[in-house]
Amino acid sequence: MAEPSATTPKSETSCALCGGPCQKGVCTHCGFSPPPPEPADGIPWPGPGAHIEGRRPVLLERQLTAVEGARRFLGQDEDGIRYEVFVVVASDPHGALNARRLAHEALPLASFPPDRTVNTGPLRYTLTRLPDGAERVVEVIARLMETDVVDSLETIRRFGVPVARLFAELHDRALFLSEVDPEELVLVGDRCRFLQPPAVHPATAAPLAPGARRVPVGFGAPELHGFCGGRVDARTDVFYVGMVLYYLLARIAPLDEAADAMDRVPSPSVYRDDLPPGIVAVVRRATSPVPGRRYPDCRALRTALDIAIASEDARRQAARRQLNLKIGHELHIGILKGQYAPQNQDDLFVAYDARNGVGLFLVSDGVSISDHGSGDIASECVRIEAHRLWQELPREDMGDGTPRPVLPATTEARRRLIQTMLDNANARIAEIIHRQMPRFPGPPEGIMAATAVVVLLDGNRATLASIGDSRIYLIRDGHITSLMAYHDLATQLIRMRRATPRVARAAPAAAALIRCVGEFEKDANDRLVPVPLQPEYRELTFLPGDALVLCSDGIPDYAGFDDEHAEGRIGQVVEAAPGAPWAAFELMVLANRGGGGDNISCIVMRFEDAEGSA
Amino acid sequence: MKAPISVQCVLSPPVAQAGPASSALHGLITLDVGQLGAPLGVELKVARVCPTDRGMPVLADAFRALAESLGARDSVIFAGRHSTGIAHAGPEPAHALRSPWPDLAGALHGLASLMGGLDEGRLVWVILVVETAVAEAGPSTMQAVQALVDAGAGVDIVCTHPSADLGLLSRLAQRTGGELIQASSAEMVEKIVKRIALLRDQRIRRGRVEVRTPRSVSIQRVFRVDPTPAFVMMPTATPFAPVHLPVGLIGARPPSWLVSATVHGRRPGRFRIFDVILRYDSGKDAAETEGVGWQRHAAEAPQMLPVEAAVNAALSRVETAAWIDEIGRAYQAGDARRVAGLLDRLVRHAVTLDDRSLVTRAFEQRLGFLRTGQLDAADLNSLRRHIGG
Repeated sequence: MAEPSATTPKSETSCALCGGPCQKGVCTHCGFSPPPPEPADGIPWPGPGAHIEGRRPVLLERQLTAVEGARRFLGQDEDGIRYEVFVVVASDPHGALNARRLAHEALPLASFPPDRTVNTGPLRYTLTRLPDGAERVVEVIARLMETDVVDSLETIRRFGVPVARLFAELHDRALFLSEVDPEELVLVGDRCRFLQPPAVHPATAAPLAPGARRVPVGFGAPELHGFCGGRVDARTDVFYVGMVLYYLLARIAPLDEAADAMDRVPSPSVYRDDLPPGIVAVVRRATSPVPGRRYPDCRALRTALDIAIASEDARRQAARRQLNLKIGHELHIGILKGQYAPQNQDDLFVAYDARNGVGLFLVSDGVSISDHGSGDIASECVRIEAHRLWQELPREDMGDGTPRPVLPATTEARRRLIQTMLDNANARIAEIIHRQMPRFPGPPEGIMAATAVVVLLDGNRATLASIGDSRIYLIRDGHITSLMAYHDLATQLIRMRRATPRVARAAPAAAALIRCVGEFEKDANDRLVPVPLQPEYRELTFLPGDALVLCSDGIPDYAGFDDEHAEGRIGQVVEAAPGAPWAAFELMVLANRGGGGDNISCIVMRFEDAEGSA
Repeated sequence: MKAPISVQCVLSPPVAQAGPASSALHGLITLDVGQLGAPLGVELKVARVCPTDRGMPVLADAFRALAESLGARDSVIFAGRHSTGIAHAGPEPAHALRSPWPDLAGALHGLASLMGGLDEGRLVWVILVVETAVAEAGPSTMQAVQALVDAGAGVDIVCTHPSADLGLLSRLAQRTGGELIQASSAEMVEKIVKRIALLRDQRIRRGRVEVRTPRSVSIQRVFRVDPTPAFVMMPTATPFAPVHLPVGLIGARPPSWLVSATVHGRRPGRFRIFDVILRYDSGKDAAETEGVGWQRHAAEAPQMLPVEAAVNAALSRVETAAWIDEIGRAYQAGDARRVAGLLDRLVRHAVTLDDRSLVTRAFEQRLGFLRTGQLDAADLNSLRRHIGG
């Protein structure tokens, strides 16, 4: 229907919004129906900017979510003291003040007691003084978003642990909350409290059935929206606390798609480098969209968080020392993949000197779709260069008469070694193409390529590198976390803040690799010029009990029902296997049982206390 | 005093952000059944589409006994390529027809031709036993179904063939307000007995829900949620025409439907999205009751999102049924990539529902398809049967 012109007078039977015809007061075109006028209560409610007069006037700065028969504000007096202000009619016909008192009594640990009451005209103001240094959680997250350098471990310890502890205390008392407005969470020192005590439910009763609710955007679990079966219980709070931890780590604004049932929110590591892997693993489990995969309650979450923080502390404080390393590796074509593609395009390289703890480990996955060459040749190029790097490492006699490989002392020098290795592999691919075609006619994107994940180990320290979408997993204390961001289009769009996770995943060719070994430009003579590669790097210190898995995507893609399930099973297999070679074999079997639709390669490294070491 | 039966409609999202972009919305229509009158009595017809006469005497006896248990006039019709048509039940003569309908379309047309001269005060119901691998329905079949709908008859389809297209049969049954009942030969009689017990207890007839929308709202899909999830229709031919949904039988779980629609961009305000009118007669009087689905468009995104979780929970249930149908269609079209993708999606959806049995079945089918490129219709039907309870 055409928009009505500005000069056309609207009749009484025309819609006030679109000008369409109305029947019984409802527009037949857009359905607009003017709401019945609300009865004026005649109460002079204050708004933001108003003052509460008195001995110490308080400025009402920000309105908070209201409850029936009341208004709520954040206020501040001249001395900078902050208050939560609760306004009711002095006669309080709705009983709002009484309900608030009862709620505070029900949750004495979790909320602030009211401080003083002021009567002005028909209104009664109840002021609750916030202690000095009190900060709301949403304010903390907003502040962190604008901060460039943040110690993530310290952030979690200072802001995340109090939130987890508060919910754990409530779960200890067999209560759960489900619908908590993040605006209401206040951090004071090492404690977290609520401004307005939320509604609580007994954890011993049956889960809440789907119904009408008010769900915090970016913090509410899928089941609050009715997805995943819609049954709400203590695991819903686990998701909430997990999302608070998530935003503290990722330092991003709350995500609308946090409640998507089918897709996990991206790992916080996608947004920030070098996050503590143990804490990332805890957050990933807590924020699973599937309730059954989360911690059963916040007590378990808090315990896992405490263990992860302790591990990360130990990781930071660990001096260089040698650990006992057990290594297993497997290379398999994949049962299904082998039926239609006879070449295994994965390759791997393992070299380790147990005497001085220096090692080089590589998994490379050839890209199967290429117009020139094939993925198995590309991954072989990477493996050959890894072998060359290992052979060309400087050697020193460690006292046993045998020259042992030695790594450079600085991080930059080690990264340069890996960079050179990958660039050489890139150049080797170009040479192979040039041997066949001195002038390359087509687009360079069609040339064979490979991914690579590399670990350069020196005792208990390692330099990790990744280009492409192969994986490096760290497994510890029943948790698994992927250490490196993938170079697929979707992940990079999210990483560069070009798209929200939902938009990025829906992008055309979202799974296409945008970085890999096999990147070239063409010069004026149609010759391929290798482009300097841009792998991701990371430094990691290992502790006894750590396990590291390097693998191609053939394992996570086929080891489980989805990524999350596959990662969980990889973690279980590696922790349950009696040795690293056994674990590697079991991973290969796991991927084949799940279909074996891709080539499978993996290296499993388990770090144990060296015999006789302290 | 509470109305004997009423209709409610809630929308998800109940509040949306105003703006020029179109948005999707879902409405859950439910019947709230109160104290209804006395049972109406049933005019029952039973038909059979089968390749042979095997088991005919046993079935005939069984149906005759069932019909007699209704204590009412009855018609028992057997239709099959080789059927001889033997039936007699009740105080009045039954129709005994000799093999006129060798297939589903023929059986439905034959049934439609028998709809004249029925007792106006009774519920008219058909139980159609399908023992062949029905895989498609042409315009002729749809015409026959429409004739039955116009006559106010509901059709329950009892399918015993493992490879029949249950998605298609379900859609046919749903259009009349009936149900698809998948059963093995051993289970068939037991399930029909239960169904007839429900038929005997019906207190309204010709129940029909009409859904009207303003012109800026386009209904995309309609699902039946209860008593069993099923895709009902995709109204595309006449976008602004009202959608009519037969109520069917009212049992322990009252009927409910999910309507998915697209809403054009809105300015802030309160909008009447669905007008839902329930029309029925209770044997003596025709009655009508109405429900309205409202949506509010707010200028700014709310901090705490109002959510009708029951609507989304219903959507999760019916989506599973829709995906299984879609997998079948993609396989028929030879789109292997889409089949694999949908099977993967089905597995992940089942995981979110924490339905381990469905996860296992769907995952096995995904594996089987990856390994062989083949998909067995019987396996798809087992998935349908699982979600249909």
